[in-house]
Amino acid sequence: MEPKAIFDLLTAHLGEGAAEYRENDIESWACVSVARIADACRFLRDTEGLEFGQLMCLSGIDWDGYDENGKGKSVAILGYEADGTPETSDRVADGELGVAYHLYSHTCDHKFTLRLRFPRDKATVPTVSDIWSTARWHEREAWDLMGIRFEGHPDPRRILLSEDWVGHPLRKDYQMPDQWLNVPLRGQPYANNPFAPADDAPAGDDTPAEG
Amino acid sequence: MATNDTRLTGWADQDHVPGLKSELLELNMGPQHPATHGVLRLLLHTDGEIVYKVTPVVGYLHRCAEKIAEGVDYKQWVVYTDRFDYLGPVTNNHAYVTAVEKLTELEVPARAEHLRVVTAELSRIASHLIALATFGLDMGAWTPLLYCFREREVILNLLERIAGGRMLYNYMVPGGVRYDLPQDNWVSDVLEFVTMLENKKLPDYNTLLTYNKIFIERTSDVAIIDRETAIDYGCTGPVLRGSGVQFDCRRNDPYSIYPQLDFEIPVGKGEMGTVGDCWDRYIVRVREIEQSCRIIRQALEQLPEGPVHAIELKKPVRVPAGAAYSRTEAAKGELGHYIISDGGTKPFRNKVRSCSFCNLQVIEKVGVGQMVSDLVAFVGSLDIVLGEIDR
Amino acid sequence: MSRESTTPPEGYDVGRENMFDFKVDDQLLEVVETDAKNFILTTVDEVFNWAKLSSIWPVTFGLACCAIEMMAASATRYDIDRFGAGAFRATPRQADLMIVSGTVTAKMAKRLKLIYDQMPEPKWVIAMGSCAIGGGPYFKYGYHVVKGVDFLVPVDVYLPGCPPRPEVLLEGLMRLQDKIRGRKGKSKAPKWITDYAKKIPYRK
Repeated sequence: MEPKAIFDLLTAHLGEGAAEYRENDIESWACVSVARIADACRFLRDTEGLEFGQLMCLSGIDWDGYDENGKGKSVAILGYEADGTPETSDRVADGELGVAYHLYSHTCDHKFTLRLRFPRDKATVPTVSDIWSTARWHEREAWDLMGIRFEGHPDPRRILLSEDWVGHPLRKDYQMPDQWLNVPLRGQPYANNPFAPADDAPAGDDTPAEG
Repeated sequence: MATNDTRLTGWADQDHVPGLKSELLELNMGPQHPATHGVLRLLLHTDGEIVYKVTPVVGYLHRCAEKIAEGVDYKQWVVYTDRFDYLGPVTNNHAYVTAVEKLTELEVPARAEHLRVVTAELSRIASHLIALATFGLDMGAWTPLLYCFREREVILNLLERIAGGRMLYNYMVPGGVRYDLPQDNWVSDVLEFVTMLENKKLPDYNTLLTYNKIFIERTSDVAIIDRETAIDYGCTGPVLRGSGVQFDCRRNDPYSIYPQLDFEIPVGKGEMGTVGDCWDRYIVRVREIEQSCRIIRQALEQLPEGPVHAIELKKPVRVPAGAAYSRTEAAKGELGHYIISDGGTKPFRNKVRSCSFCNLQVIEKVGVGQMVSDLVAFVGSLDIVLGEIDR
Repeated sequence: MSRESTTPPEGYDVGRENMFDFKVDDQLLEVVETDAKNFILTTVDEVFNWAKLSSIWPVTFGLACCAIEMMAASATRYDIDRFGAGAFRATPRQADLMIVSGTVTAKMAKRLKLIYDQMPEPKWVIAMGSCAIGGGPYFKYGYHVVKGVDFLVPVDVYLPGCPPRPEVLLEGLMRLQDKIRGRKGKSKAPKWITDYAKKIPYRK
């Protein structure tokens, strides 16, 4: 079934205004409102003819600093400097967060994509882990790395990082930690390297690209 | 496993000494363990033999690959994709560059596509050989480990001749591959290896391990994943095919030159027990090695002439703005990349949907009611690699 | 340390000045020079050191990709068992070498320290791979990666590579054996190791 036809069935169920259809020549997706996402997912899984039995991927996205003009001038992330200390910055991120759901149906062999967008201070989304069990770990990871809360989740803990980690690393304003519970995470400055290449060695394609 | 299994519910009534209080033991199969495949931690609630609850704890190898993706180039990040599934690294490269090429309009030359498929299938064979070897090792069979590593050394030599590295290659770029064939008789060496593997080594492994009575008793009817559970938990790869679902990204969602190649998709049929037990997942992998040999032979026969990359290797790759999810069949399942690009040389967001992350989750459901040694067999048959789970 | 058996025969063009023209690291030099200047090893020490270096039993501490090369080093082609180091012990209580092969993350650091503390003296650590030496490719944006295992435990031999070939692991093992051969005193760790261990900030 074509994505547009799937979307028409979805809006017929949800009602007007709950979802919008966007497409470009690579992908098409439905922007759903946050309150109706669980309803939409349940409809997509249970309806005859749609039968989206598998959630392929659930991704948390931080849209802060995204370059809308498509010129690649998004805000850069912070890392560690060359001597190992974390880079700091006073910028506070204020963009929106988002979630993307990619669904697939084994029986009908079609795919569909749903997307949500919501402001950073209202980052709570209904869970879909009772619809697809695989979402349990995906949503835990979205909470862990992006800070998106999923209400109704049976086990809302961090999964990849430790329970007492502070911060959500995949956010665009995350500053690298210097240490965590006495474990040093700063780098060591590179010592005098006797095996450094000569000054007139040709630069290969492993030099970092500018612009 | 039935819910009225008395092993699960009536355990407290089985006090052999009246009046003696018994409780469940909370046992930790820690991150450093010879039988977990990497730094996986399993928290077991067990009474000593039967497991009542399994909680996998992951994150001991979280290497921040998705954060790094936002900081380095598209071409530079191929290095980090190698480190996801470090047993079959070229398949990870393939997944990532396919996803990037979906966003751009790069035309990959035909010669590069063929070389990609040949190296990816060689890597898949290497990964499956380790899967067989470590699965046998978990069961207590030491010999298949050494035999499989011996075969793997030949593959690593072949890939070293073409890609330069022994285990982690950084071989692909968006738009092609980095290096062309070496000037020696690489093609005939690969064909010779593939023939030897099919005709002499795989029958050896089948005699040693696959149709070994002890192995069959250890693995058949153990940890059965039925079809609905597998799809609901997002399992892919040999785990899904072992449960009877005929789904392979190379056939159902084709990419590269796989539509032109003729190969079968092996599916578990419950030959030695029930559909979806450990033996089924194992035999799917053995048969996939045979199919990979077929694919390699066809791809090398049809190898055309031409360039091997469509981009200039010294300049950065600029990808137009957009977002796309693309999935390929890595050695362990479906590896997907959701890349959001803002038009520059670095991705804005790169979410990696790794196969082992979803495959491991099924242990929370199917591991309940198993004995501890069956749980070890189950983890071995899932064939997870922690580099992929933790990224 | 002379290596007559590995000198190439006369007239053979190796292509480099001398294959073993490497820079010996300062700590090893200090150990060797101290022993050469101060003391002549007794026969008893020699025998004990020979026994220790011929049967170094590693603990299975494979973390990531380098662990696969460690497994390949213990497989049939690059047999590590001929050095006596093939008996990988699952428990650290019976091991005397920890080959840290792979990336050490913040979550794993405490467990690494636990395993190291459970190993009885004398014990050695090989940092295998660039992740264990200095964070590896995860240096700049790795918020969860410890940039080198020598933040946590004192390291004897560093093996560069990503991953290092199994032959590099064997060479590192041979260098460790040279280090053990030059030790004096019976079962105490050299003083520079205990001093270094006291200065490590993470001791929890």
